[in-house]
Amino acid sequence: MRRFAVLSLLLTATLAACGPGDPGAPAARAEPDAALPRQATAEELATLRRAEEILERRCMTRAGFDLPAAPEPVRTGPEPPPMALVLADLVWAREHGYGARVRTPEETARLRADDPVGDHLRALTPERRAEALRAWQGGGVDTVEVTLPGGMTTGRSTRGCTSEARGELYGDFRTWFGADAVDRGVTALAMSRAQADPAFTKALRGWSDCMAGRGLPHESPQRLRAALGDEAPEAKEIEYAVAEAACAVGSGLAEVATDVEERHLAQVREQYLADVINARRMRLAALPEADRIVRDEESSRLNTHKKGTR
Amino acid sequence: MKQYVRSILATAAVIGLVATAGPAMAASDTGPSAPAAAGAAPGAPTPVRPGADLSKLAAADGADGYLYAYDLPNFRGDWCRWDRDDEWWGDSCGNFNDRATSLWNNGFPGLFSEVSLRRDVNPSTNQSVFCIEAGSYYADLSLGYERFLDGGWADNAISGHRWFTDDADYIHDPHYAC
Repeated sequence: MRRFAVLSLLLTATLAACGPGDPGAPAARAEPDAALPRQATAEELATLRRAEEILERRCMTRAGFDLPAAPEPVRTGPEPPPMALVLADLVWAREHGYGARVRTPEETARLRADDPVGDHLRALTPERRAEALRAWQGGGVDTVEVTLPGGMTTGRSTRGCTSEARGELYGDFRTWFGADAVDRGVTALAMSRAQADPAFTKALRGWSDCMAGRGLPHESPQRLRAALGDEAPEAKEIEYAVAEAACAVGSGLAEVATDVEERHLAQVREQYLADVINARRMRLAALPEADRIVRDEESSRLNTHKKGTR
Repeated sequence: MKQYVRSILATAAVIGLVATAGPAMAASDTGPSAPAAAGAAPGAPTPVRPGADLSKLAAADGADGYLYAYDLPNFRGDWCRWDRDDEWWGDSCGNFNDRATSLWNNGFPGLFSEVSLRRDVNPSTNQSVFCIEAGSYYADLSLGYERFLDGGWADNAISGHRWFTDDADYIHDPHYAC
């Protein structure tokens, strides 16, 4: 840890090269439309996802497959700041790098070593394994599909435990599938448009010059992160994240990014408002039940293995 | 031949764009319990329609868990499949570099169940990604724009893939862990 303290001191010292840099916290995202239900928080989304997994496993048990519980994530931590276009929170960057999107080689090794579900599946006969996959994923029959805001068609089977669990939690799989996919597609399309926005690409030049001055000559945060990859030693990850954030603040890219992002999000969201509203409502409506499912599961797990090791 | 198909598809894509430009879509085909924003919101939800039958695509040998890629839309044409990482599709199934137009992730849920699809092979040059969840498919990349992280076309541009585990779901950033 001391190593990182020294490193961040060094980085702070070189910050001046990028211009005035009082990083501060990035502005909270204003919700442009008051009539819109609020977005679920990252913590709430994690609860929903946990509940989906629990329901999936129960469904698999009913189908005759007793799967072990999945292990906990290897890297957890507070919710990262928005960084779809650029990471601009220097304090966060110094402390957490890019958060859960990057793992150290040790974390990756730990993740690969602890795969109880995979081990269970690999121990089955090929026939049985194929049956398990069909029970889980639906085997590609009775699919539904939807056209995403970007134009692509995405679909999945309405059968199988992954879809059944979502139907159970959100009320109706088909409606949920469409609303969720389109809602996420709205963000994806808006971010892509924001990245191509002339205001953003213009501001990117200052950022990129600043980055070159720090010995990381990359033309965009996306290229920088691609160069880092999803597995890197912590010091390297923090070096990249701090450089990205320092240059975002110093070059003014941070402010431009926020404006551009909000503008495009508002535009695309307006066009798919019914889907966005449905997805948000369904998530919020499912929360109490998801909370209960997760709590029940945890207490029953504690009862089964006297000591909760996880 | 493929170029010809692609130009037809590009035209179709333009038509598709025009068709989706209006706020009010055709009456939605959603289930009865749809909590649709009746009245309040302008426009109905995007319709959800019956999709492709993929049951014949899965491996005849039973044990599946593959990522499938097809040369043409809707799981037609030459194809290839992988059950592990492959960073360079150029030597897979003849050569599958820059060819995929439809995809199905028939991988096992759990660890390393999502697939990150990559453009180009040199991580320091022009690499970008988009992801596909276990169980999901993309029937026609030629209709889709702006899907790689940097906004590039995904159709006929995928060069490799990796299976990954998404520990976090950040809804404001579709590419966060992707």
